[in-house]
Amino acid sequence: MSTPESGGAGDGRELGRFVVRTAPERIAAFRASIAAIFPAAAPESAAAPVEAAVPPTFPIVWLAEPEVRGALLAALGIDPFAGGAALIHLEQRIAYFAPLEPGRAFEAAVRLSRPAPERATVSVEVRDAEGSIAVRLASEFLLRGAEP
Amino acid sequence: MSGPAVGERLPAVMVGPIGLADIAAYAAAAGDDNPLHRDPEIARRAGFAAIPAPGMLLMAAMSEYVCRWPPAGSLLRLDAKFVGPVFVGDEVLLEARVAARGEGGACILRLTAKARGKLSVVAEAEIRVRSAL
Repeated sequence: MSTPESGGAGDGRELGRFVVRTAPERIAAFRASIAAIFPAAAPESAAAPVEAAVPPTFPIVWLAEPEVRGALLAALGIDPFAGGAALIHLEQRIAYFAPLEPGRAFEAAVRLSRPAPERATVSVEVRDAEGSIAVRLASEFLLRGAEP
Repeated sequence: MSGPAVGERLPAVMVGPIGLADIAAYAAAAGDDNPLHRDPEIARRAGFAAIPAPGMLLMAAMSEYVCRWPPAGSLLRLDAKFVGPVFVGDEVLLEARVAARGEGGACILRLTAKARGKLSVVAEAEIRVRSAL
């Protein structure tokens, strides 16, 4: 599982560069949803302090941003949200290069590759306003029902 | 080298049970309205016996589990494979152990999430431990 390209930007076709944000209200809702099943994640928890105010998996929300999702689904040629092929998440890799601070804007370069007709790899490289890399994501999906 | 030793286990944690409302709350917060996680018919057609919880909800819990381990400083990397479903109503057992120590105080943790005694998520986290900061 540990590979040099873990969380890497990967190959594939670039779908675009999108502005994404660490909006505080969205972070709060995201953290609350985690705390619902894992109470230690609640902000008022007395558990050990966490350096980053942004939950580590928060960047996954950027894949669901309307512009990003629209570009992804158009490139995949499916719409699982309208009864098309089911989108099954197989694997997720996230590499952190700098702390994500709330209230900031970033640029996310999104790439898509199709290692097989029923597989999709989405790679995202997120950079801050200075151009420094902050986070890399790599997501592997199975498109069940999309097999030829 | 100070800090956690290879083989050291984190205290196991049980999360859940995961209800439909939890999945809906996560979906709303994450913007992930994949119908696989709310429509039993779509779940069935995709090969699941019941509605599966989003893998990313489990990964989120695992990330908090790691980051709230007292020796944990910053998280450098988190990789997860979703190898089996967690269904609505399941409780999930999170476990982890120190698999290796790296340079500069880095620490590799291997994690598992199990539901109904079966593996649901296997993950690996690389962290920088506080004692080495």
